[in-house]
Amino acid sequence: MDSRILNEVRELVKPHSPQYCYQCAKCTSACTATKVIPEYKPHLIVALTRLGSVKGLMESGIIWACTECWKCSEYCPQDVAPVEVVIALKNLSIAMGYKPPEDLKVMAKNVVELGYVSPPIEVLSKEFEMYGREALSLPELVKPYVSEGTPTNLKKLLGGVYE
Amino acid sequence: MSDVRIGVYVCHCGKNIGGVINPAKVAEHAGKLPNVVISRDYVYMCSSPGQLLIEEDIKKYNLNRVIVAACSPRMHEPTFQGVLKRAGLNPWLLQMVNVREHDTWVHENVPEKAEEKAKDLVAAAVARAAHLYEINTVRAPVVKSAVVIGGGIAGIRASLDLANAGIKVYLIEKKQSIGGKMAQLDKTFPTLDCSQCILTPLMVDVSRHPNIEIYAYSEVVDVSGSAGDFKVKVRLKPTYVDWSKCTGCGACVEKCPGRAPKEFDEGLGVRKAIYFEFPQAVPRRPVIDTEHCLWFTKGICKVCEKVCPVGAIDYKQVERYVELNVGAIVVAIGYELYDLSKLSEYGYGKFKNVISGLQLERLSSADGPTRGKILRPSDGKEPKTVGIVLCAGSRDENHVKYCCRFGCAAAIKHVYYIKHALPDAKVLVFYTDVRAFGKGYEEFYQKFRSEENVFFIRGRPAEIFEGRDGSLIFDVYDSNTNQLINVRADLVVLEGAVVPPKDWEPLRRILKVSCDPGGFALELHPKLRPFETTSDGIFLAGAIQGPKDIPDTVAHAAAAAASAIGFLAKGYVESVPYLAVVNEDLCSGCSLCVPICPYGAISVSEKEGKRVAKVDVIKCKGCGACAATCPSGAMQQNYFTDKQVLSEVVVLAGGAK
Repeated sequence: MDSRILNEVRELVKPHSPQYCYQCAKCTSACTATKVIPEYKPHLIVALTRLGSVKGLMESGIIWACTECWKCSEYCPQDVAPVEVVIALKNLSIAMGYKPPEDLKVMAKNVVELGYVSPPIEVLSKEFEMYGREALSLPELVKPYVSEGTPTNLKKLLGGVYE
Repeated sequence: MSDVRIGVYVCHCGKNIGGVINPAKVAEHAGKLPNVVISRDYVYMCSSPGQLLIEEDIKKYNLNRVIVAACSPRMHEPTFQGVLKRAGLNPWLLQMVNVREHDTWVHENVPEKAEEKAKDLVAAAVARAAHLYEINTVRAPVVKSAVVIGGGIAGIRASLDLANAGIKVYLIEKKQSIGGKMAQLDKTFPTLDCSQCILTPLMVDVSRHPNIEIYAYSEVVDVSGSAGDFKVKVRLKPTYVDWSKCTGCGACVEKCPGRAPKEFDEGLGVRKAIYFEFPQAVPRRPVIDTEHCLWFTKGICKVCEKVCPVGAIDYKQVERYVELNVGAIVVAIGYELYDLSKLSEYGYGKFKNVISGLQLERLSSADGPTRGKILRPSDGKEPKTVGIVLCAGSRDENHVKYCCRFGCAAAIKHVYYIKHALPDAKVLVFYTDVRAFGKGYEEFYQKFRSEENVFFIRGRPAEIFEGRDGSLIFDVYDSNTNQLINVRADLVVLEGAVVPPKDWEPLRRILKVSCDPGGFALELHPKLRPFETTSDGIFLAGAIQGPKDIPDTVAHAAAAAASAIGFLAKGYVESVPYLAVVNEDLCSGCSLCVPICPYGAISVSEKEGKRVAKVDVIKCKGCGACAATCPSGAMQQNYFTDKQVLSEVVVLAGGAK
């Protein structure tokens, strides 16, 4: 048990207040990620952060399961904003030298090469029909401007994840 | 008293003062100051020998000022004022010097400097003492009657207690019947008494009591005067029925073709346009709802007038005002439920089968819209699975920060309602903490958490969706078993947050009562004086001071009544010594002091050809705001005049050393 991590997280998530969490678990009831990855529980991440026991969270990489839909932050009765706690933990874990998951490399590569995190994909409708941008008569995506310095900066930001 | 003769007494307070500084040295120093006739030190000045020492000195040395350097005046000023009184001096010729809290307790580590400070403080007091003068308080009689605002269980209990003590009570109720929220409940926790069965006899007692006069369908619109002699202006709203003629037979209600949602059933039932609030209403007199009455909206019908056997219907009735003269006011206006539609994630107001705890009370009540059957509002079917959500809006930074203090016990009671009416139903209670703190509550909780098909789940739904059949679908993470539970419930009950009544703000301003961050009335002291306010003669009863369940409300109301009885039984109110006084020669009548006074004690009027301020000695509480505002120094506060305070400052600033 150690308050240092909590204090660092508090600085990063200001003006939210993770120390006030009373474990109602409303965030986990709402969580999009929990429904797919049951091990991911925002209320538990906040509780572990309060105790300073974040090593396991960083080693297992479970914090990267968050989809950042922000529902937990919307519904939280104590203005804890679990999503922001998770983002803070992601930043701290990179700074502390933990490696992010492999998928992040792909995302970084996509940003440099395409300008987006993920290329546009086709989706399946309720009626089992595939829809792409063309089928929805949407224009083809234009590649956004990616500055020359982006690869270097991404490398720095992601602790060497993007090679 | 031109000849100032001061006695200075320095107390050791055991080691509290004597262990840090040398009181004898302080006394010796004081002895050399001007006007000081005698100075002494003693180990416990507040003890009998210490007091006797001062008393004898006053007589022996013909002292006319006394300085006691000891503890805080909050502690022993009254003690030493008693000494002066016994020796025949006006008590306000005493000057306390706080050399304990202000000196030895805080400067323990620097005793030499502490002793210097004590000498300086005593010297300042000696300079101040020369400007002290006799202060006499005045008394005004109290009117032995009271207004109780609000006729819920708090107002009922307070009224009965006051009336039984021989005090005339005017009970003001904004609805047409007394009874309040308790009348809407089916049963009360933890004993499961029928709410109406224990409440309605008290309502009848109130209506029959010779000392109680009920003003129903009325509201307080103005309060003037001051503690002991308030003038309370009451507006009697038009009911369009002459209540003095009406016998409460109900013929008008029966024949009325107009319909409206029934407030008493929390919108679940239907009432007529002319209606009694509920069958056991006290007074049992109807009112016409002009928004739904065909005569008022379309100019047709008049059936009520035709069927009334005593000719009591009066469509032209207008509001009336009465002024009541009372000594005390008891505020017992209760609470309101938070607007649950603001919790958009739960769909209250949007999904028919999401209801409030109070709506469940109505469904469960024998006189409710379903005659006591628990049926879901969308299709009138019996629910098979019921979800109860605790802390709906309470303990929530986005809604209401505080705890409602009865939701947990109410939820347990609601488990009983459902299991009693529908033994095969499954009940899921979603809680964060179950706060079963009252007498018998834990046992109550134990009984119902052990029932078959009752599940207490430690989690909170985040978003409720409505299925095609009106059932409610949501996920809840149970942190006891570490699993996400998918729920499909037929009925969801929200144990909602509690807020002060919406229309309370104007009344609060009229009464000059402060409020806490939640908007509830602020008590004088949260622990020791929880039913008094900063305004003398105004008392708080029940949930207007903060959320309360029925046992706490009744205890609070009885305490407020006892406090009011004590205040009225004393027979008089006394002015404070620290009154503001006007030097009429200096006063220019500029009136700056009038709006500054928080007690409305100052008026400006014509006197001998010029405008001068006048202070109502009973209303003035001696806060000093006017004296600080007065540009000419005409307004001075007794015991804190400019001369007194400045003479002290001059010494402390080193001017007279």
